[in-house]
Amino acid sequence: MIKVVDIVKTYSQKKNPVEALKNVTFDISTGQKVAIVGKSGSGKSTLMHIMSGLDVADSGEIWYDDKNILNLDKLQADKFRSLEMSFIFQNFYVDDTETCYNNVSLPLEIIKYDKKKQDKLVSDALDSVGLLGKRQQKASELSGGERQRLAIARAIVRKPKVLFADEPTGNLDTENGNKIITLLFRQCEKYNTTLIIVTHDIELATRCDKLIYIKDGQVEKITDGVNNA
Amino acid sequence: MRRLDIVNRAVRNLKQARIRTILTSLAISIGAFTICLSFALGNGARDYVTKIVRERGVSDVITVFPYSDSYNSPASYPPPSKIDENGHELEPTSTSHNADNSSSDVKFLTKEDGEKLKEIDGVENVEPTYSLQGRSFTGVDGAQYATRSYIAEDRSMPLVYGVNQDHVFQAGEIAVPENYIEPLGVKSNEELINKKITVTFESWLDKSEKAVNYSREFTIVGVVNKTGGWLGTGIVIISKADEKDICENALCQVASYSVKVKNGVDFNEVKNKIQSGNQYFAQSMQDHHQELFEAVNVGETGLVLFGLLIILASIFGIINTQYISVLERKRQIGMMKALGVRSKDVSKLFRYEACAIGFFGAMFGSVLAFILTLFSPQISNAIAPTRDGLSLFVFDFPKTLLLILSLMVVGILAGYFPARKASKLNPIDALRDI
Ligand SMILES: Nc1ncnc2c1ncn2[C@@H]1O[C@H](COP(=O)(O)OP(=O)(O)OP(=O)(O)O)[C@@H](O)[C@H]1O
Ligand SMILES: [Mg+2]
Repeated sequence: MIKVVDIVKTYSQKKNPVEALKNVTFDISTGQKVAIVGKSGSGKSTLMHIMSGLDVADSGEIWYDDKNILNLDKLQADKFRSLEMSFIFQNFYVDDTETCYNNVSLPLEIIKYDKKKQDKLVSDALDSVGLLGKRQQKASELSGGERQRLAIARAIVRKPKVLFADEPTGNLDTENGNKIITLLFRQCEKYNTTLIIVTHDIELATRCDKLIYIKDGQVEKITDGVNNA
Repeated sequence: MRRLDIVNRAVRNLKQARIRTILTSLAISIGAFTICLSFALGNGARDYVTKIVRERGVSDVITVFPYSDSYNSPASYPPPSKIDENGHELEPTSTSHNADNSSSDVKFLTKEDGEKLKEIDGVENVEPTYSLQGRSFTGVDGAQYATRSYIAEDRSMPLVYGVNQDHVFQAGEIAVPENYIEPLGVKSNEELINKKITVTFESWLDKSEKAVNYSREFTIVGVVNKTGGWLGTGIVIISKADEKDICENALCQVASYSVKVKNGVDFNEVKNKIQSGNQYFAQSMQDHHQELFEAVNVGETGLVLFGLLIILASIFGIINTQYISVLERKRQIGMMKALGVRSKDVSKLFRYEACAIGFFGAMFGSVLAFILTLFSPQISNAIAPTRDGLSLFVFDFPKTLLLILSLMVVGILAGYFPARKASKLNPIDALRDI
């Protein structure tokens, strides 16, 4: 259960402060797939950064079960993030300089995961996105679609409680976008991972359980997706 | 993150930017190469000095000479003397020489000095060294014939007649060159044997009033090859006993004393005791050794400083490379931080990379230097073909190891600022930059 309570965030520019978020409040249940939608500049990314502990709010609370992550210091927040959260970055960013294996093993290295078991987890994750055969291949040598799948493997390898994705399908065509999102959904369902996607792709958003519309830094409305309709 | 994981990622990052890594470490390797080679050159030179000192004399012995002002004040030389058109001196040098008395004021050591030196604390034994100089011998016609080089018992002298080379000369025995046949009024080597010969010796300073002449009669027991002398004038051999007796008792001149220091006694302390009172001048091979070592050390240090200068310049190369690397990898850093890598570990990643650059550079430079030292015999031979067994370069493994470690530390220090920049990157900015 994630509770977002009264989040306020103001970017204090020299002359004109920008109120990026104004009293944002909503709940997300565990395992739900949630889309945060809204126009450019509405505050979606800011909200996601605050929810993941990357950024701090001026006021408000973010509860993960019984833990308010806005009360954590930087070190505790890093630790919480490395243990419970995962990310899919814009355009499915992966580290081109590393092999598939080393891309996927990074989240496990961060939490000092047991080396012997690490191998199996990485292989499982690569297998589940169909990249087991390319584990020692450099990410730079992958096709666009393979890179997206690699990003998903990295995101789910340590079975996170929450997975954030900021504009994952930024410049994907609909067909490929749909395929990759289906894969992502399946992986999240497998581990009962709560998925929070920031997007302005309404078609993608409606495939989620819940849509949170943000406008000018405020929650405009919350609707159910097609699955729940 | 575990240190090993960070190290692995650092190394992989460097491999990825191979050209840049090689170029950056190349700068360091030139410095490392210079320093390694300086060490090797210094070692070679020191070995060489030690070898020479060993060849030339015993190193734990103090040689004692009579004290002279000329050791402390620059010697004064007489002005050039005038000559006539035939090349003869118009005014003999000795006159002008005597006018300046200080430089001719040479003292001798005597038997008593030997006794005194033996009394000094820490002295084990004292060996006199003699330098005997003949003046003339009396021919059959009663005239005096010039003679110079005298030595006591030397197995290397080519005896051509009479006693053989293993002969131990007894007091009163003498071996003379073949060309003494005529002055002594005989016809063959055979006739020289058992003939009596009167030899006059003189103390060194024949022009000073202190000069002493002394004559003694010997019996010829052997004949020396006439060319077997330093100046081709032939050498005369007498017994050690006669040499000692003539030098100590008749001429009262001992050239020097070799003082052996007792085991465990401070060498320099004994040396200082000998020199106190300005009676003696003491010198040891160790002094020369020390002086030469210092000269070598100065040269070596100069070269090392030069190498350090190159390394100093290469440090900026590392800093620059790493700064660019941080900017290029903003996304990677942002991604890592978002996934929960701590700033500390991000900083480590960049410092390890800089450290590895230092390591690669140091390794490359020292391996290159090592390879060069493998050709040391050939190089030495080309430079100094007459010095057999001289090794110009002697590779210094401990110092090189230390150098490699230091350059790794230098790398870490050079990587400090770029690493700090990387660790302070805000993951949000890094992610937005995409
Ligand atoms: N670091 C910052 N300093 C000042 N203003 C900022 C900063 N980051 C974001 N903003 C402002 O906050 C507002 C919300 O930005 P945000 O990035 O959350 O929008 P978004 O909904 O993600 O837009 P997009 O769909 O274009 O990504 C914008 O008006 C933006 O200009
Ligand atoms: Mg955004």
